[in-house]
Formats: sequence, structure tokens, C-alpha cells
Amino acid sequence: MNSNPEAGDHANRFPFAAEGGISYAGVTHPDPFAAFFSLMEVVAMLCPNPPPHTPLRGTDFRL
Amino acid sequence: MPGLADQLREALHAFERCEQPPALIGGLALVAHQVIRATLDVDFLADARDAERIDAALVQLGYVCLYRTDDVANYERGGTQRLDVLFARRPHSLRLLRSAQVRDIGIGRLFVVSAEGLIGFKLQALKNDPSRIRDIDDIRKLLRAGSGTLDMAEVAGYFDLFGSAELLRELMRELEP
Repeated sequence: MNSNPEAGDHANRFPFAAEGGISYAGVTHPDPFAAFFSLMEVVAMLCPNPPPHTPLRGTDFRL
Repeated sequence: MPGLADQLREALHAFERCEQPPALIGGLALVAHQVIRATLDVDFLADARDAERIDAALVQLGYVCLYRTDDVANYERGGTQRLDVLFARRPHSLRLLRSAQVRDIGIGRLFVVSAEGLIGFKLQALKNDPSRIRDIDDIRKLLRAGSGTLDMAEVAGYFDLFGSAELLRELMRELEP
């Protein structure tokens, strides 16, 4: 028998995790190109066979 | 400042002292499931019993702990690198940690939470903070990328758990040709 009903309720509301900690604004990297290539290096490791691009839909395309 | 691959490699090496290997979650874990997200945030799910070991290892690597509770710890290094650890303490998260998939990538052996599990965590994040509509888009993309391979009974179970069965029906309708 659970002697602490609040604990049970807490577990029901948060079956995976109660919080994600502090959120933070996007980090401004001093060299955005280096950050991009750094990310792409890891993307290539994690997803060596990326899915094909889906065609863009709509008509409002801008450069 | 080491790049993202070096940051991951260092973390994997540091986590070797853990009893249970932490598993990748968050945006980079989506990438491992064919959902490409531009994020430099590194997020791991770890056994709560490894919290002290992880803290010591990350501090040794130069990270500063910004916030830490029984559920989560946020670390930062050099103003540009973040590493967050979510602690598995509940049956669902512990099961997902223990059943994480192994990926041998160029920098070492990486454990990754399943796509179904990521959907569960996304639903929890959405429940905790309904303004995080980005999570719905992530779920939509995971459902699309995993079409035909996802364990939909497990996925439906997570939506039921959060009282969001209608949201799943809506998302599945979007995937219909």
C-alpha cells in the first residue's frame, strides 16, 4: 500500500521525467561555419544513409 | 575548443565508468533515427545511480554544472558547449535506457534510445510544457521516418499514457497518402 498518495500522483503525471532542467537560448557560436561542419560530421556518423529529400510543396519560395 | 564529434567522444570515454552506459536522447538521437535536426545540444539518458560518477567525470572534462536535481543535470563548457543528462528513475525510462540500441560509430560505441522511446520522452516534454510545439513536429517526423518499422503498439501505449490518443490518430491521418 502506498502511504504517500502524492508520490503516486507524481509518478503518474511524470512516467518518463519530471523536468528537463533549465532551458537556454541558442548558443551563439563564435564561428557558425565551424559549428555547421562540426554538426555535419556527427550527422554523417549517426545517420550514414540519410533519407531522401522530400520535394518542396507550395509556390512561395524565396532565396 | 573541441568540435561536436570530440565532445561526444570525450563524453563516451567519460561514461565508461558508469554502471549502465548512458544513451543518447534529444535532437542528436533523432538524427540516429533518420530525422535530421540542426542541434549542437548533447543530451543523454543515464541511470540515476550513476549521477555522481557522471558529475565527477564531466567536471574533470571542464564542464560546469549549471543545474542539478534528482531528475536532470545541465552542464556547460566554454560558453558554447552544453551537455544535459536526464536521469532514469522511473520504470519507463529505466526500461528504455536498458534496451537502448547500440551503434558503433567512428568515435566509439554509442547507445541510442529507440525511436519509440524518443516519442515517449517527447510526449512527456509536451505534457510538462505544452508550449513546446516543436516536439509535435519531431514526433511527426519520427512517425514518418519509422513508418513500417516502429512498434506502433508501444507508440500507441505512450500516447494513451498521456491521454493523447486523439493526437496520434491526427498524426497518423497526416501520414496517409
